[in-house]
Amino acid sequence: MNFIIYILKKLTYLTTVLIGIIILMFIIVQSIPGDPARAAAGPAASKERLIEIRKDLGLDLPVYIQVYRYFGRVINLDLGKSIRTKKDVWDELVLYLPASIELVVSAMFINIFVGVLIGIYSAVKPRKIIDKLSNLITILGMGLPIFWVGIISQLLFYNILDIFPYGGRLPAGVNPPQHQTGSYIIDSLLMWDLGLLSISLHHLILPAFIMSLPELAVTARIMRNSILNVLNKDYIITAKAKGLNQSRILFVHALKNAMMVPISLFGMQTGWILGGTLLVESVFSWGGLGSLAYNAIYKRDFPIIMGVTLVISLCFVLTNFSVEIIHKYIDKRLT
Amino acid sequence: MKNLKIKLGAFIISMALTLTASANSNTIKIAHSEYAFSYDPVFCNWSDIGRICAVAYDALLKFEPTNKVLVPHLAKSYKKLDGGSKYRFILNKNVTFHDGNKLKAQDVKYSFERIMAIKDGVANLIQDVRSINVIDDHTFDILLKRPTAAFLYSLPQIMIINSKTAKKYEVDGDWAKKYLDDHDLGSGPYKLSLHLAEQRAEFKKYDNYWKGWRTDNINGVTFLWIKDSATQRLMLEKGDLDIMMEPVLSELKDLKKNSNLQIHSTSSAVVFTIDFRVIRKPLDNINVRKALAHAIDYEYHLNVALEGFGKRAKGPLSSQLMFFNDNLPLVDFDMKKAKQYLKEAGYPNGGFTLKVAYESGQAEKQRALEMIQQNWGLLGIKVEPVGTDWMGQDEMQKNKDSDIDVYLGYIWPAAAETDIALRTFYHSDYKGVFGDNAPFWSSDKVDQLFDSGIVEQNINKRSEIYKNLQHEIVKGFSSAFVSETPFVIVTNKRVVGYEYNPAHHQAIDVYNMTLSN
Repeated sequence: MNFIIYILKKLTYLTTVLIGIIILMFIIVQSIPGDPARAAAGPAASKERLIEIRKDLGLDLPVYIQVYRYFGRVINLDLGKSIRTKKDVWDELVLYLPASIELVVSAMFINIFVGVLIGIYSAVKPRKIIDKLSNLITILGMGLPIFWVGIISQLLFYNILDIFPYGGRLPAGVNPPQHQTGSYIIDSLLMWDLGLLSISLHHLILPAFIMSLPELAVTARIMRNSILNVLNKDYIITAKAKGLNQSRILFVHALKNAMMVPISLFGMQTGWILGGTLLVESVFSWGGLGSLAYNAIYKRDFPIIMGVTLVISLCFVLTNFSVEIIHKYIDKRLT
Repeated sequence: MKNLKIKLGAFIISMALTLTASANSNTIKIAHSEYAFSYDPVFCNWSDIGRICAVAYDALLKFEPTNKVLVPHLAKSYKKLDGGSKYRFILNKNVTFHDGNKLKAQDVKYSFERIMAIKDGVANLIQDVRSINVIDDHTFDILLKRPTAAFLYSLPQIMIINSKTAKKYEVDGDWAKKYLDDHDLGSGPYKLSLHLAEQRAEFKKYDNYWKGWRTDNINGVTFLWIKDSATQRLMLEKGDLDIMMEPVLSELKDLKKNSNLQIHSTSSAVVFTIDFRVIRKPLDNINVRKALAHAIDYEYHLNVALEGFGKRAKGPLSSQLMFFNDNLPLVDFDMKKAKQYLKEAGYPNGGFTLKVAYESGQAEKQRALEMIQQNWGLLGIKVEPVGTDWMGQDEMQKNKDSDIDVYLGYIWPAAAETDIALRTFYHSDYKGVFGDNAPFWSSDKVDQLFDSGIVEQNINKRSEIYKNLQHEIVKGFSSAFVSETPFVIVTNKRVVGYEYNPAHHQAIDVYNMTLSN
């Protein structure tokens, strides 16, 4: 029963957060200078046409009425139409989201897998080469702007070493797999097309790695500190005194407790990585939500900006919600 | 286990093949930053979709860039009737659309009516069209609301679509707009073979193209949407790209050193202007405007901001367009004259502040701002920059009550025709409508010249009218005309035959180009 109350409490909190985000975004987006009607009408539209478009889009109404109407539409899963392309925002999001999810999930996979491994190794062998390297990665990963790292990585891995493509999800001349999920990795696996799978993976590795880099650095450091902390606990000292071997102590007794802190972090990291798609997708011409948002911001396409923000916020909120549920499941004492 | 090893082997081999895969050598790869969100020719005036239109669609007439004249295209001939309020066109009979349907006059009627109903994109260019009368399958009349001489020059932007197929795919009376999101309905030399949103579009040669194929024609076109110019440059240098559409001017010196690349530069139809809002004090005084115009270092702008590319503008019209007046008096950079004019205006030591709006993301405008900040500063005038983007600036320009005094802007023609190029910028009817007329300046004489020029049917008289019109605009000192903005693209050395077309700014006429070995 407590568990259900806990979930309901969290859901209420998350819904409030989402409503707050929508209101805030609506106000911010409306206050950006620029006339969306002009963007929609094109450079040579007549005055009458501009007035007509403003009316169609409801831009002639006060902001609070526009927010109210927007909520009404969101509840019915109607996010409106793109001002520029006149396509349904919902359709646009469905088209672009799989590419971003593919990238974010891959980046998170690299973040968790590599970050945790580096963290464990650094904790077990402190001040050794891996620990020092991990320190360096942390400083670089957190200190350097991600778009700059992206461009430099293209220069190194594409232009000089020639081991990764410049970007894009597939090279020119190669057709994507038949659309089933929108993820080229999953769709080529479903078609059992290993050639296409390898090409898709080849295109995915570099942007996913670059995207994971700042978070990977954090994961590694937090994992290291968390393990070092656990290794100093009484029960671990007792286990050592009992003569249990090092790997059993580490992987069976220490790791479960040491993972509590990084797990809380993963929820936040998913959101941060999703937010970072705008820059990484632009550098690597990825064609996901980030690219959609980039164009929408440039063209003042407010419904698209709102739609993308809503999706990213929703992903952020849901991931954190899932992480908190997992946490509660592992540690029943949490309130 | 053995089976797994074979699969693993195949996986590794295909991975290796990916690394060494080379592109189809007779396909041209063009990169640009803006994604073409549709293949609907209604939007041919948007540069991203305009590029698509240039390969997949045909218009009734074409603008021939070398001689700057209109030439028949889908229409094999046309004649003016009823004093210019009606045009009769006869279509070529051997034209087929990409699905094999034959071009008929009904397709033209549908295409025009579709644009007029959608009221978007190029619709403004044909606002003088009253109706289309089909006479037979290959003959039709276009009736105009008034005898508009500029009308023919808007036709290269009006692409004709396959009405039979369009009607088949119409949903809820949408004129097949949704279908055109990822299909083309043209008769152009290349047909769409792959559309990947925000990634790329691939076009293959249409074998039955009505103009036929040479042996050295390019077989396919791939448009790659790559936002980052650094990435475009890397690809170009590596040979993975044939054309980079938007190079950063400051990088051109470096790119010039690469013997595998060629830089194509031409002054474009676009004119860079520094606009003085004449309704604000002290810019309502023509001597102040003259002083400011004389304190602009035009040579510096060409050599530093434009890195030696581009050309000094003489007036509001680019030398790329017809009726360009080559005899306009050129305003020179002369600080003494500037001081003299300021003195005559009653501001011998300046002593006022000007708010200058500019697009902060554009290097050309950023540098121009720095230059005027320094030079006008020497006159005792303080410049207060207001950085924005094009839409923000447009908003300010449109607003009569905006507190901005000076705008760094462009005269960007919607078609390669003088009236179309200048009307929204200088006719009083358009003040505050689009924001094109940033100075909020007008003159009765200029209005009269526009009104007589648009209906005049004699080309020599039209030429005289529009040359006078340019002279009147220059005399008003509402703007300083700084440069004909350069249009620069960088291509791989194998690209042969590129030519800039002012009617299709930023489009590439792939059909008339070749790729050398």
